[in-house]
Amino acid sequence: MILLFTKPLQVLIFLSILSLCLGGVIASVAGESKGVFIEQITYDESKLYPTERYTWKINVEIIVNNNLCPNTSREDLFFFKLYVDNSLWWNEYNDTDYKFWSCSRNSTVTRKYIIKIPTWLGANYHLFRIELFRYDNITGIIYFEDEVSFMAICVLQVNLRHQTPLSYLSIYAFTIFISSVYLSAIGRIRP
Amino acid sequence: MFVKALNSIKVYVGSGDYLYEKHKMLTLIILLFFIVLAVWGVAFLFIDKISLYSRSFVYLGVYLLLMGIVLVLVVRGKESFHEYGFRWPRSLMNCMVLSALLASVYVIITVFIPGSLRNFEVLPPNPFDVYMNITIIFVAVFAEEIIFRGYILRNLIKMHGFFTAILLGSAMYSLTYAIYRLPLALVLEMQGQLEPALSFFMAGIFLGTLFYKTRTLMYCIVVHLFIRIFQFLTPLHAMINGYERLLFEIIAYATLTYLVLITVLTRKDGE
Repeated sequence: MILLFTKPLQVLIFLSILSLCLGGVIASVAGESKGVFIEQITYDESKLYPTERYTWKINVEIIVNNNLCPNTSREDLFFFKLYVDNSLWWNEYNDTDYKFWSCSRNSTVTRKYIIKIPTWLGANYHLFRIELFRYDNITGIIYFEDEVSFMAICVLQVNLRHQTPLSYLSIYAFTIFISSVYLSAIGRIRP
Repeated sequence: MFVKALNSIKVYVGSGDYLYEKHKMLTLIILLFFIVLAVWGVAFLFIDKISLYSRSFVYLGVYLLLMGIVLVLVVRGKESFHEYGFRWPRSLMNCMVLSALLASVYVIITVFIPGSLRNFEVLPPNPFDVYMNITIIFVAVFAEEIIFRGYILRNLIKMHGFFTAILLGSAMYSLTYAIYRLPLALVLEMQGQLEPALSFFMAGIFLGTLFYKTRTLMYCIVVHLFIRIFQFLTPLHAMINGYERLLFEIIAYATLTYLVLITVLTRKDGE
């Protein structure tokens, strides 16, 4: 017990705790590094209208990390999957006759997609998620690499005959009718 | 001769007192106006750096602080709260019915008429806490009415008469909105920043007329509250540009002012 409070031992304990902490931090940072990742997504941040078409640009950066990308070829094959509110909306691999796109290592590629917002999305805040997959053309295995999610507002564009404006209009018209009848019955208001 | 001289001195001193009171009141109004600007200025300095949820608390804090300042000014003054419009209307039922009518007319003119001419946007439900939003609306409406109608407009009417007072009071009301959007419009050349200030001016004229006719803040608070809550609960926007929106706002407030003039009798000071 007394040994614990001697100076060299205190220093030793302190150094070992410090190294443990530093090791943990370095390990967590190293764990986050990826061989392939989505660098940036450019999309229309304002309102999205169903049936309209929007262009989303997705930048993917490929860096050399042999632990994560053991493929020895200079080019890797990729595809995206797009999810809306956690359900799959579009799979680039399946929906384009199993076509991939390639990207050289140590470079960035920008993919442009024209997205047509479906009507079933409705007026709401939706969570969009883009997942990036890498296809290893030697082993034929598909690896999940990275994902990016963002919220976007979908807004419906309707005319007066649609049920939403019509129902609100009827409520306000009824309020005006009832209050007009009441006010005409009592005459001018004495505040 | 001596009596005449004494009378003239009395008139002079009396008018001097009056002038002193008038200047004092004007100074207090201008001071209050700059306090409002300064408090909002400080809040706007860091409001962009915090989350939307925390912003709600900042808004609540600012409105409560401003309301507190006005209440202190009223307490320290010579007149009672009653004089500043803190009194109940004769019939709360009439007040509610009139408010429902005016707010419904406002929503019809600003949303449904332009929407039927163009198209509507059906907006998603508000993602933030509904109760928090309604609390902010309550506190904001109370604070705005107590400051701009209860204190500023009431004192301006006392000093300058109705027409000058309502123009000055409405200009102050719209300036508090416009002054922080002025840099956005001039420096960043952002569109649609200053148009709503004119709509605030018209709102000031409508609410000022209502306050002048009823002599009670309750009508202004309930009408203002109904308008804001009806707007908040209607998830529809007319697809029109800023100038068209401004035009419909002006038409709406002019109609509401006309409706107030024809439906409400003017309350006398002694009543």
